[in-house]
Amino acid sequence: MSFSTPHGSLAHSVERMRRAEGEVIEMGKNSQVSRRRLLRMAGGLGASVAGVAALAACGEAEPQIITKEVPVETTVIKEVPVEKIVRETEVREVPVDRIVTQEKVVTQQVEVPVERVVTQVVEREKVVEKVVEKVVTREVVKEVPAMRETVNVRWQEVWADAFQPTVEEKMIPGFEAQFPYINIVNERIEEAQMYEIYLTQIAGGDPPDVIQIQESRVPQFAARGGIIPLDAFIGKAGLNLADIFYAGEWPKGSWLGVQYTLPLDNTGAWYLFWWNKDTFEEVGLDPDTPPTTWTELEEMALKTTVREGGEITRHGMFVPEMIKGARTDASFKGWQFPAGGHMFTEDAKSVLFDDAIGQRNVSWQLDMVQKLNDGWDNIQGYMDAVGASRTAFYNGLLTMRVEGVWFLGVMRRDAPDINAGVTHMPYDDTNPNARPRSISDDGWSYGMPKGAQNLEEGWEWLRYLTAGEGNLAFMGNLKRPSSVPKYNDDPLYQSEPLWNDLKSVLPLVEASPITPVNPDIDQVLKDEMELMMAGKQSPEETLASMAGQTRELLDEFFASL
Amino acid sequence: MRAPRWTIGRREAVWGFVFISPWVLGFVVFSLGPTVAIIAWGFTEYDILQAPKFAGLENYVEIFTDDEKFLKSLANTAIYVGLLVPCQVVIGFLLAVLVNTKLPLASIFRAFYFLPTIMPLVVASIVWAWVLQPELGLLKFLLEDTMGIPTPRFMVDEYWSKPGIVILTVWSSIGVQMILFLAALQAVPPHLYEAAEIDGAGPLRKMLHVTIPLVSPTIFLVIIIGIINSFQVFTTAFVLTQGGPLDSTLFYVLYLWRKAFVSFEFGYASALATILFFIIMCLTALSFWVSRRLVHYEQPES
Repeated sequence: MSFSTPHGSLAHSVERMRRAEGEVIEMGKNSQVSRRRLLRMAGGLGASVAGVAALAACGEAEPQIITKEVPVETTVIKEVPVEKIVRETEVREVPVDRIVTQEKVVTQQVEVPVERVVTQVVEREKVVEKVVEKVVTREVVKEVPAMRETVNVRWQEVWADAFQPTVEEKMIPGFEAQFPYINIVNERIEEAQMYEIYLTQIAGGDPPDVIQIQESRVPQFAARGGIIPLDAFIGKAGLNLADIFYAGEWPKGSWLGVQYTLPLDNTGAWYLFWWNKDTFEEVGLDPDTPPTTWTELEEMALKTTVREGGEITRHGMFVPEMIKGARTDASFKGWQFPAGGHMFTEDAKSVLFDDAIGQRNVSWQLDMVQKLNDGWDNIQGYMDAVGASRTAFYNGLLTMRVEGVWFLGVMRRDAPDINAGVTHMPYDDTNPNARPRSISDDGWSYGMPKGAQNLEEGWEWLRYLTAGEGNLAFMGNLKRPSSVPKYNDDPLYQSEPLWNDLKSVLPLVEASPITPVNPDIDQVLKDEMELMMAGKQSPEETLASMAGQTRELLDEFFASL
Repeated sequence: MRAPRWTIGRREAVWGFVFISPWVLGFVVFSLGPTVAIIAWGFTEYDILQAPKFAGLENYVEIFTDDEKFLKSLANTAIYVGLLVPCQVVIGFLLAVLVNTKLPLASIFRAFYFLPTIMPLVVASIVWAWVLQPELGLLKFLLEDTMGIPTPRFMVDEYWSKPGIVILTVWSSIGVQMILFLAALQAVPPHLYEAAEIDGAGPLRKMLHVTIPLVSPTIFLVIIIGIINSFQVFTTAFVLTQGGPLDSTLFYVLYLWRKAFVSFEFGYASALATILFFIIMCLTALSFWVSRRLVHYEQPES
């Protein structure tokens, strides 16, 4: 930046002065200069000295600029990418007569208290007629959102395969419009291999930025430092999770009070009760009144059971069957809460199910298999991995069953015309403390794995997928309830006749503590329940063995920390 | 002093090493390196997410003294191998004999029998799960519901679960064994059969005294490959039974996988893998020792 004087630039004045001095010296050497020339040179020298002296006197005091009518320029300030803060120079104009240009800066090296000028580009000349009296600088802090380098956020998930149009045409463009500097790279992986992939990527130092992860696995990763805490991001964004998500959803993404993931779906109602209304009507039951207690469940199951020639041709209910039949481990947990019991202490370090309620739960399930199904052998065939119990329900061979919220979408896909109802699990009416409860200890969520490279950008995408519009786009497409209550009121869902029934159950859902050895405990529960059903051990032995092995797993893990 | 001249043999050796170096490099990086790493991790406590900690023989002590599922899974796998490998040899050989005839459409049958081999095992597993499903499956419908013949409760009964998986595996892999046997059958010199016929041998004698001795190297190959592959059975059990019922299909590699990727006990899983490595190596060595007596290798006349 430079300034002009009435006599041209300062450098130019100094140069003229030097030249006059040189001429005087030269004249002394030659002694052949006329008097007129001598006087002219002396005059010039004197004027120059006076000019420089005047300038020097004015320089420190006031950034007053005396402008001659000289060609000046329009200055364009171009903002170049600096991190985040740019200081702008503001020109305050004091009306003197008339000011032609708004901001004028001419190349002259007068120091004024301007903090920093970003860039100047002189485009064309203009005439300044009057004086800008004062130049004032002021700091303006301003974020520069544009011109940031594009960041690729790697997103790995296991669901989007069937929903690519939603992901590619709606979710990713919707997000990138809000964050033009973020490019979402969607990497679909197989659900069956997801943890192998995550673990090897983390171990290899090349994890993605955002991963889809089951909440039943969050403490397992968190306790080993495999996933990044989100508390700092949540705090910075000012999110209050309790205001955004269902009360039974967001706590499942935490471990020891630290939040590691945010929920995608509402799998809160992991254990829901479904019944076939047509069968109810056929046997004289009110099709809109499902059983609410264990006593009613037994009565209705017996009433809807059909026996022909000593064989059961239609079953009322498979009490130990949970989730596609393959996970009998879930049957203990699933009935433990409507029985009025709990699984673990809040810190997930100690077993709570080793009590009279747990014993009642185990014994009742075995009793129901004997009474309703004439033994395990008659229903074991439905406990397979391909969902035979679902097929039986669709075909009217099974009247009531338990499966999570996702079953609504599955049922509509597989048997769209089935006349079914949904409600919460029946509770144990022999326990005065029991009540209708649905418990969730699993579900899908998003987090950022250890070693993720783009945390800020990854967080924005994670937030969009869970608390933002991406959640509605994705879950609405699936016709599965969102973890965000307000999205479940969206018109996207209104075409589903059972939607309001399903939605009414969701607020009843409570989150159950999840341990860092959750998958191992699930396996123990499954194995022991299966041994009991197969007649290899008594209900008492079953509960004792489940509790003992679970304690051992928990103690061993916490001792290793 | 003259520089030593490279002999032809030495030059060929150098070029030989140059040509096999890609394989050697791949073997070192993708096979030998991981094998050494797995053996080393077997002596550590390692959960993948944190650095391994040296644990000495702790994993091995626990495996051999305090792990019921190790023995259970090993026994399950041994029974499975014992059922599967003989089936693969016998059925593969008989199919090859059938399609080796000069009947019309023989080539179509060859293609037909080979077709299941190209189907992904996961898909085949799900299809067979519905065929063998004990309550709603196709087999039950055809046998029990239509003809009144009781059907085994494949996949859900602890005694029928392994045979169910064997049936599926034989169906999906038999094309490979058939092709191997077919190649061996077609390499049997016809003059040996002519000589046997002149000596009065019937079809059975020709099979026992000409065909089987001459294809015995292929039988041996199929057995070795069968043992190595079937000891590593995983996909079918993972998809169909997840180790059940009552752990009857908890095969060794499925258990190993659970330890590594479900329980995050990667050090322990590495020890299990090391044990499996030595078991397969010993069985293979045993097979080679036995083959000296039973396998007939044709020697060229000197």
